[in-house]
Amino acid sequence: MKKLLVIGAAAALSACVAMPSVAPAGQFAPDAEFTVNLSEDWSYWPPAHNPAMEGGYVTQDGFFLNRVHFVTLDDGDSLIRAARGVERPFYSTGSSELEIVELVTNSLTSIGYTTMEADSIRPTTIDGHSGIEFALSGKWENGLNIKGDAAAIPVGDQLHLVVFLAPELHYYDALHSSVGDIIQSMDLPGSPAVG
Amino acid sequence: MLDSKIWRHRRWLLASAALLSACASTDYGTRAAGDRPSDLTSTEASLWYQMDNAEADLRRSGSVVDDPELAGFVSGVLCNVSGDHCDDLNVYVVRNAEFNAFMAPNGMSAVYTGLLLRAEDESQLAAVLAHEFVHFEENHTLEMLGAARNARVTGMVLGVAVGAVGGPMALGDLAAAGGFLSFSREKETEADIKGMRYMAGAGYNAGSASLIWQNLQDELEASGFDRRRRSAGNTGFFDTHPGVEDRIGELNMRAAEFVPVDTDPVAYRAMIRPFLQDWLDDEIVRRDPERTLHLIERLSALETDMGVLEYARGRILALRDEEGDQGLAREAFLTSIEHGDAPALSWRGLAEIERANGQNQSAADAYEAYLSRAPDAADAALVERLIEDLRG
Repeated sequence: MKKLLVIGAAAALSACVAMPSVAPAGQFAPDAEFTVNLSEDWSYWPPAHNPAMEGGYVTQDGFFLNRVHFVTLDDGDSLIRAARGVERPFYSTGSSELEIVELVTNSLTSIGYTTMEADSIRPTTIDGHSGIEFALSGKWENGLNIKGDAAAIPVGDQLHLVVFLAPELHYYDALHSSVGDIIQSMDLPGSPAVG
Repeated sequence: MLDSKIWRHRRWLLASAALLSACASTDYGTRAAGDRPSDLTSTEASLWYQMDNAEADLRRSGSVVDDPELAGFVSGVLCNVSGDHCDDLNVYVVRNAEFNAFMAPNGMSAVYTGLLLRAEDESQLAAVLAHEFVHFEENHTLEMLGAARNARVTGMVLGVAVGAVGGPMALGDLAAAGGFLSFSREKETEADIKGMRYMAGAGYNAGSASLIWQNLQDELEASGFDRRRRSAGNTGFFDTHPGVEDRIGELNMRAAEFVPVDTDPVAYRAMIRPFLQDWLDDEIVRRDPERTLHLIERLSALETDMGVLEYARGRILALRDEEGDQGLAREAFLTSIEHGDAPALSWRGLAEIERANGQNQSAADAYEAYLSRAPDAADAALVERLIEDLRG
């Protein structure tokens, strides 16, 4: 009876809250309006487990060592969750490329990163859609140097974002290339027909 | 010297005994220069140890402005008003847009860039630092913790107090912790009175003390956020500071007892000029355009740094994007680039507006002007592509 109650409770909980799971190599659908292709297995943490930012993320070694966020923003959405004392930047359809870069850097600054800056801001085309890619650098609140990469692709009224963050020491370099492949694999809605 | 050590030792023992006694007095008296707790089992020593750790965290955090000249200037002002205690105080200029400064019992002294941006001269900065120094000298934090202990909530208060100085997130949220860190109105008044005496004794203009609070009140009243406008009725600093109106009146009355001293806002602006754009960018990120526009208006009264200030005005208006704002932002960027100190970003801001208006040629021209001034800009590759597209 006791065992049944435990199983029942677990089932009830799992029905309410998505649990972390394996994101197997291959086409993967995070909780966003696009899919990506993973060349290896990752651990996927759905939005309910994302403490400060919207969307879910995949990680190889844990939240603080490397993570790749996936999120689709509608007009008026924020990249970060509401918190006391935090003024959130919001996405606005029609934002310029540079405003989108500032949306990302200012959002990260608002959740505890310091001296967060974008570099190597460049135009890109992913799945037939024009957007931007850029590098990120800054510090986490404990002084750890952080690097990252981001891709932002506006399609219609939405902005599709991939944001990679990892400590500069070892972890960023170890996954930088893999994350670049993930970004290039974004399969976006409303993509031009191929072939 | 030995007598002094024995006295200090005895005083800390007495103090800790007082803390441990639920009904004891929480008056710690006035701190002597060089005081440190010698009873390592005391609550104060524990607090001191945690503050030392918090200070180490702060140094590592990346929030401290790494500029020896600026830090030296702020330390100098604090030393001027703190006399023999100068060596007890370690100043950190913290990159944070809030108007704030605090001194922990171990001497860690954090001065936020939001305060440095808003002070108009050295005397106004000295007024705030002298006020905070009195809290330090009179052991107000320890007395607050002692009183909290009597109320059996010390653990909670200690945790919040230490957390509040423990890292950038917590530093940024210090105002939220203010409910626990607030001093009584009596202690604030004591800090105002003694602080003014110290600043005037150091040769600063006592009348500047009320000015910095008046400016802050005016700015908060201009805020687009109800919460901040409401805080203008108080100070927005800590909730139990005396109401601003009362405080300004009292400070003005007391300042009349001292001989006015000329201030030098030009020299002060020169000291903060290298940081002006970064600090204004921090304000823009806070997304309170009305408040920041009010601040820029005040900073513009000196009629210097107009390239930087008009750029910031343009950015705020472009981001706010209410009816007519894009036109006003365009005018601000155009005004900015007429001044020698205009940042390259003014041309980029202008280009963005021209591009949005379909003025492709003038947008491309402005982007090119931007790149000619900032060829290594982080967005150079993107801007080059935009110029190509705009030129057709």
